[in-house]
Amino acid sequence: MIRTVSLAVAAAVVAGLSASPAAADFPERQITMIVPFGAGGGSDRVARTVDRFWQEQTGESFNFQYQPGAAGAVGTDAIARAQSDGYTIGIVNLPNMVVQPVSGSATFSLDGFDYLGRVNSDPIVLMVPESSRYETLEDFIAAAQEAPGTMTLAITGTLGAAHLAALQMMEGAGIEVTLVPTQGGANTVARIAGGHVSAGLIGLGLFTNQESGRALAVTSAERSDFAPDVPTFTEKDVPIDLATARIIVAPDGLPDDALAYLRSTLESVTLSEGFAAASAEQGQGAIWQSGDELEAAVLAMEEDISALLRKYELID
Amino acid sequence: MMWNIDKVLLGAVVVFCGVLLFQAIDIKAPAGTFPVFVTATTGALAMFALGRAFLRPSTEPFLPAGAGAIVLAGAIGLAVYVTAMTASYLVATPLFLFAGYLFLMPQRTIRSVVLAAVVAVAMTAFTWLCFAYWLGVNLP
Amino acid sequence: MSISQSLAAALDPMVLAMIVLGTIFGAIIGALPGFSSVMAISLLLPVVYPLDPLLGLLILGSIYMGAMYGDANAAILLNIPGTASSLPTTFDGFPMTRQGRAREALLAALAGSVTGGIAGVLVLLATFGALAEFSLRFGPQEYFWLTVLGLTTIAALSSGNLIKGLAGGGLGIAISLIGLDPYWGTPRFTFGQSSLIAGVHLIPALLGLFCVAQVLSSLAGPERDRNAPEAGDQKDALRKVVGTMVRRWDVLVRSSAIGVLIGMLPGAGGPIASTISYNETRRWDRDSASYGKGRVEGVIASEAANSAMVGGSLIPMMALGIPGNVNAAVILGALLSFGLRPGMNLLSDGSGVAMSFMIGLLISSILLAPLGYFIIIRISTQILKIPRTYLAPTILVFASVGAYSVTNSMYGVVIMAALGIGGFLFRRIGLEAAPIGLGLILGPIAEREFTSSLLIAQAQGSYWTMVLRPISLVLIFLCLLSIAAPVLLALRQRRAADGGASA
Repeated sequence: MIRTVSLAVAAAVVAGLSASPAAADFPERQITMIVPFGAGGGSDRVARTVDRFWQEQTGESFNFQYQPGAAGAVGTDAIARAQSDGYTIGIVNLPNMVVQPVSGSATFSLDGFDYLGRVNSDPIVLMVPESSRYETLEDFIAAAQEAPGTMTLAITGTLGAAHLAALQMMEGAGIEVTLVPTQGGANTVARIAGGHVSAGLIGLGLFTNQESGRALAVTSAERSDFAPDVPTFTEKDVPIDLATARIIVAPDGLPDDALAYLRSTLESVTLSEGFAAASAEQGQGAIWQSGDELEAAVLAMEEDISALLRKYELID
Repeated sequence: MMWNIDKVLLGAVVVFCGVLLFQAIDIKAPAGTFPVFVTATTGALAMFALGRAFLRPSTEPFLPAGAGAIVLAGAIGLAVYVTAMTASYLVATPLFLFAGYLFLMPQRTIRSVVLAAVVAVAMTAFTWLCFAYWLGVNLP
Repeated sequence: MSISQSLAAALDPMVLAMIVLGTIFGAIIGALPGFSSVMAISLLLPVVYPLDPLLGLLILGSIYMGAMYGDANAAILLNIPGTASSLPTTFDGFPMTRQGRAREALLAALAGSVTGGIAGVLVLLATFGALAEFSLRFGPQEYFWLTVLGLTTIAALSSGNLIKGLAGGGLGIAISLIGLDPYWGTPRFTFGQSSLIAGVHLIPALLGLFCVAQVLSSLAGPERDRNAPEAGDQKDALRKVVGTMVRRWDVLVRSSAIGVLIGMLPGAGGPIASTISYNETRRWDRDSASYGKGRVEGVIASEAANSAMVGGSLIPMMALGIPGNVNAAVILGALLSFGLRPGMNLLSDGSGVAMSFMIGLLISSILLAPLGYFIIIRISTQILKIPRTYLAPTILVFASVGAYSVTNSMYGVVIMAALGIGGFLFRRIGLEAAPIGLGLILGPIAEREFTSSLLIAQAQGSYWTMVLRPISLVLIFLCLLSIAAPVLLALRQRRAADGGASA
């Protein structure tokens, strides 16, 4: 009898021992990271930075897969449709990811993802050329109010963070300017620096990495460490709290152990000093927001953005 | 008989531009200006060319004699390969290459057939190494 | 760090070895259809991060330089531009191959790339800041007229059949319209197909139009073409090319200048540089009608420009932090992650890395000469010896894989196949691939710059702003010249034909 019991106990122990390594064995092979943009772009750089520190922490690196197209919608859709075994994840931009399903250029929906976490935040600045006579945001707003529609504002891309910031600025300050969408951050900077437009909205990271022009305001809730002299829109009574965020997502329905592993590793990567420093070099602020909080934030964003877009008749 | 393809293709271009123009007109300004201009102009040019094709029919044959079969085989072969590639790159590619080599060979000897097979496999391996292994592309 | 110290750093054996490897690697990547230099550069980014900044930057830079040379080889030998920047190289390069002058063409491309590359880097070294400021004066209006100028090359190419050429160009632009509306951000012309929302990707489209269509054309060719065209035993090819370079130094200067200038304009890029250089070289040549039939100057012009563009694109990148194109953008990313900041301080920050980098690039462009001559050309001419039996299906496979890898889905391959078969059919009825390709490449740029110009004009209340600007006026004038010449030529030909008929 004792023998049977001890055999049973031994069997249970063995079973338990072999079960837990199986659970702790995720990942057993390389994880694929889908980047919905071209190689070498902003998202790719962030993904590579994540990869670098992921490798430092876990010894594994990602298998990068680029699926550019439709301003990121194609790749994001690919992430949603991938197998939800935890071996495929992707990096996505907010707010683009929220806007695309609403504007009809996407075939994915926000509930098709498991949200792993947010890794950085890049607020938008209002930039004017060196030669501009606007020294402060008030100057700019006053000039715009005097001559509605005659001032031109360059924004990077359509239906991206810069565009939304522009809409919020127009709404909040009660002005009307002509928006000039430009392809690519570098082009936008060139347009502004060359004085071809009155001003423009570009990412803070891009602004700090280059030499010309000055920033009148920034869209984050608080002043950024990268540009402490630049006041926030909110300080100046134009309520905007917006930034381009890069988030890591996976297709919906991940097994629990994979989800937990990915989330916790991502958290420790993002919170590591090296990652913050590397992001700072690119002018990006590393910020961590956990998966659950992120999901809630995304869904809240969807409502606000839809309302904004509808108001400006950009969507039905 | 063959030269009608000239008119069919030009006609297709006219139709294509027409369809796009029809849709472009609905685009809200200012985004509509460029597409309307381009599709209208291209359509007009194609119509002009079409008109000229009717008035002064080209006397050149569409394809040199005897070439039609090879080209058709090539086009169909490509289409089949592309479809088969979705199932498995590593199977479809050597088969396509082998078939292609054999088909185009002026004379088929035992030696050349074997060579064709070897090259087919080698090329598949090379491209797989380059793209799938090294570049990390997920070939089917 | 003084210049001599930077020079010493660049001449370090390890650094030199990396430059050599990078240049060769870049040349091979550029030569293989289906691969793109951006792919290669960004793949090596993670490899490069842990390295010494100078090594890392130079690896990326030499690949860039090598690729802008390498792409000429496939363009000349197979009529398949290795990258979009070498499209104009096909205009005269491939006819030269058909005439048995492939070696001359390859050498000319090499010579052009070396001179252009050196010129571009020298300008980078010399001017750094000043030119970058000038490039900022190019606004959307100037960009638009620049693309129009590029498109007028179509008129020049199709002197035989202007209507069809223009229709082809227009068709290319029309196809490029499919996808997301650049202003509204919503899908257009997609006929309800969700896959078309991404539009017609450029690289698979070019692979189809040039690679596949070319292969199908070669299948339709006469029996004797089944074996490779003779590379020609041009023993005197080198002498000829050197002679041309010396005689036509004006072509070199003009092409390099155009390449550097256009390289500096963010978003303009290689294809525009080489196309406009080709066009301008043709325009100022007494015998402009013979271009497109095997004028070696055409090859030199195209290649010098797209290699000069390398240095040019780095000027605003290093001086202002504004990269000239995607390759420069990737290198900018590397620069930033090494802790270096673009700007005038790059030269004076004491680390000397920037200076060594530029010197290293110069070395890369100089090394192109021996590397190209002894290695690349030798390999390339071997390719010509492969009979069509093996070449045709293999190229189709390469193109298919390349198209797949751009989109990581079959969508790219479908585009390639459709445009390939379609392109072949169009070619048979006189709608050549080159105008369609130019339309595909330049169309999106033309559209977004046109729309921007329009918006600015409407905001400022006057449409004249789209035209009445100093640089724009110069460009418009050049456009008119571009169109006038072939039109006049066509009229003259018709008058001569009528005159002959009635006599």
